[in-house]
Amino acid sequence: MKRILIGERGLWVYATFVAGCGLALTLSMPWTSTLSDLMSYPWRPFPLPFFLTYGFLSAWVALDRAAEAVPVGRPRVAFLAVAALRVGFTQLLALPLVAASRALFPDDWTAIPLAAAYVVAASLAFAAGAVVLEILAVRRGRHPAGLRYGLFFAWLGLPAILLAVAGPIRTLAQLSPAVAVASIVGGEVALPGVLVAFAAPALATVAFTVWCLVLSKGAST
Amino acid sequence: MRRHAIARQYLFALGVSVLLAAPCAASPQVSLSVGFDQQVVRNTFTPFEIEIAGLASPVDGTLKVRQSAGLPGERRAEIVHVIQSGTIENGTLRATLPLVEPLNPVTVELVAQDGRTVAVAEQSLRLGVRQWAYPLTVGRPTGIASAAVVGAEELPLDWWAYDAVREVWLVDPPFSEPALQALGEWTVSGGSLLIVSGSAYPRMDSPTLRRLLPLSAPQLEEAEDGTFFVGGALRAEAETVLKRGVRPLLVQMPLGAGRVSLVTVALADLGPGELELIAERIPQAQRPPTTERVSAALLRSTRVPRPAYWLAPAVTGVTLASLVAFGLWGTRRRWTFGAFVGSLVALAAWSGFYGNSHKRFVREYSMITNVSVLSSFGINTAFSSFYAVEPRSVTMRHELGSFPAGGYVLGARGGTLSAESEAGQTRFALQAAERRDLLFHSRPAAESLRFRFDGTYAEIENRTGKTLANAYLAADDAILSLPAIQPGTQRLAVQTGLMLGEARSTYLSLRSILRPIEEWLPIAQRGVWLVTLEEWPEAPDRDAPTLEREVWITILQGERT
Repeated sequence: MKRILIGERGLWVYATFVAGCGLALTLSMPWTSTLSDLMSYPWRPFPLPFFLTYGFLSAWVALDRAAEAVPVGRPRVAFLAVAALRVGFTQLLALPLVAASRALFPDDWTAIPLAAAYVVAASLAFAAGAVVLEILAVRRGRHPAGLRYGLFFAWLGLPAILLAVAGPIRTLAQLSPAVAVASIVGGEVALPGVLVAFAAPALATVAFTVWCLVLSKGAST
Repeated sequence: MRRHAIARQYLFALGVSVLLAAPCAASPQVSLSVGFDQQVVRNTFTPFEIEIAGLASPVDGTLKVRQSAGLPGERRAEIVHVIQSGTIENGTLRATLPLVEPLNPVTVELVAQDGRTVAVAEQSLRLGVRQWAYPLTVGRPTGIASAAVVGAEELPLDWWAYDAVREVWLVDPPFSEPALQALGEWTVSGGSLLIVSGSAYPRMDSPTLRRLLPLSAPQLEEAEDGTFFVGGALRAEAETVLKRGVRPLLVQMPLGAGRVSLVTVALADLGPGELELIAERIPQAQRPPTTERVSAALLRSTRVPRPAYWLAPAVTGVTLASLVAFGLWGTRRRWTFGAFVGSLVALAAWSGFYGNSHKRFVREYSMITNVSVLSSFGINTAFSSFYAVEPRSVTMRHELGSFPAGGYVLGARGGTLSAESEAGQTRFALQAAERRDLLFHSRPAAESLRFRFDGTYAEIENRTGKTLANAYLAADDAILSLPAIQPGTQRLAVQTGLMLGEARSTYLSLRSILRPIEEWLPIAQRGVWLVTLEEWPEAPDRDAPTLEREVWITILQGERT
């Protein structure tokens, strides 16, 4: 079980993930004890830094652990299942911290499960993408890390450019995981925005899974 | 014939004039009178008298007084006081309002329910602006320099209406009982009341006046020269300040934080130079103490609801420990994965519940410090401090008819900081990270605490229904701490005697609370006083976005046996 979930050199990756999320949550918590402190250093509940850190590190762990799950020269669809299990393991580690972030939502807490669900969906998409890239790179005998993280940052950043555009097309900025998480946590996103936000990782996961199946079929024949 | 034609022309012109003037005469009108004898002082509670005339029928609407803070040419804030809402008829209305800036005109307007302005009047107070408190003579002029003169029927019924008055000379009776009651309350708050009696005494005698007099069993006596004096036994702490021959001419007595002076002869019977001698010996009124510093200190010490510091590091640490344990021993024991998952799920459940119970985010903090002084007459003065974490619209409920002062200071952040007060509540907007203070005065509720002190034991009758945990007795230059006062009547041995500077209460230094009060009313030197301090617990609603603290300080004069 440990070999499937953690893999080689995985312990420090997960430990970094937990420590990073924990640090973000610690810094998000109010530290003022008296109103005197609060007057000097005003504070409002601001859970976004924690959720952005949690989403970013989840995606990073998904990319890293999914790529590590693909042994050299053996492209099989089972790698996808291992990658998905590792995403689940990551979320299990984040669960106590995400639950503790309830203290940062004084009123409506529905953003917490919604944001966590989105992070899971995006992590699965990144994991599936990482598996496909790893299989392709292994076939061509190249190291795929540069391409993997290049595409990751492009997905994070490029749709966010649409925030500068007015009109309905602006909704497409929700394709960026960073924008989607910010909108969900901020409670600013309407149903179309939520659908767009969740549709992107769902479609990507399906597409990468099909691609992986095709690659697996090609390898077996 | 020609004369008839001229007469016809005059009659025609007169008829036209009457016809044109008739609607004007019947049109609704409002007029405003501010201050005593139109004398006003900036930032003081001031009596307002509004007269409504010309209404053909009662109007459903609102009568408002509009003032503005800030000098002309600068940023302004509009202050609105709703004097009456509902059915408004012809007549005279009185209210005591804080006068914000007398250099700006004051407007009174009668607005119908549909928003139509029925009548409006604007008044400039510039000619009556004074920099300092002034003497007030009731009845007829006394010759006191710069005194405002009003009739007895014009006396306001709110003790805080005398905020801008230095001393009150009661000269020409009759005085109504409510007016005397208000004057007695004002004296307890630090006022200086002078009663000119003599031959006028029979016309002014009343139960309330007798409570004010420094003489017990007062009676009119005739001197050898035919002058009528008011004589009687001096009350405890009363003293004769001036004499004419063997008879007292001016008698004074402390009353609460103020002083009552009695001139035993009528104004007309005062000899040459006696009026000036009396005027020199009349103390100036002092305003009630502000508990601003105490209120601000209590507000700043208010605890901010928050989760414990250790929540996030502890959850992170336990999660990391579980991960490392699973990483180290996950392959050796089959049950370790189950234990690992179970521990994380349990930790998540606990942290979720903990976060849920500590999620309260207070958007508005308030601290209300009430001071009640109960002597022969009683007063209440309260200072409220508000602090908003984010922009808020605040509605503060207060005593009916008591309009608060303050809260109109133009902030450095800009914007228009307006406020609207009705008889029982005041609304104003707070910007983020802004503190606002309000001061208001009122009358205390029915007395529910009595005591007497014999030097060793205090016999206390507590009908408040509550246990008074912080109670102190002030007598003979010392503050003596008392055990908790249970409801009912009890005889308590006075415990350790502490000097005022050493005594401490449970939540703030008693010294810091009592020092401004002691400077205003030297309780330890004026008879025996019981001081109780109570803090009302904050609302039990854990999710409420507001946090309100309230401290009651009651200073009750007792009887020494």
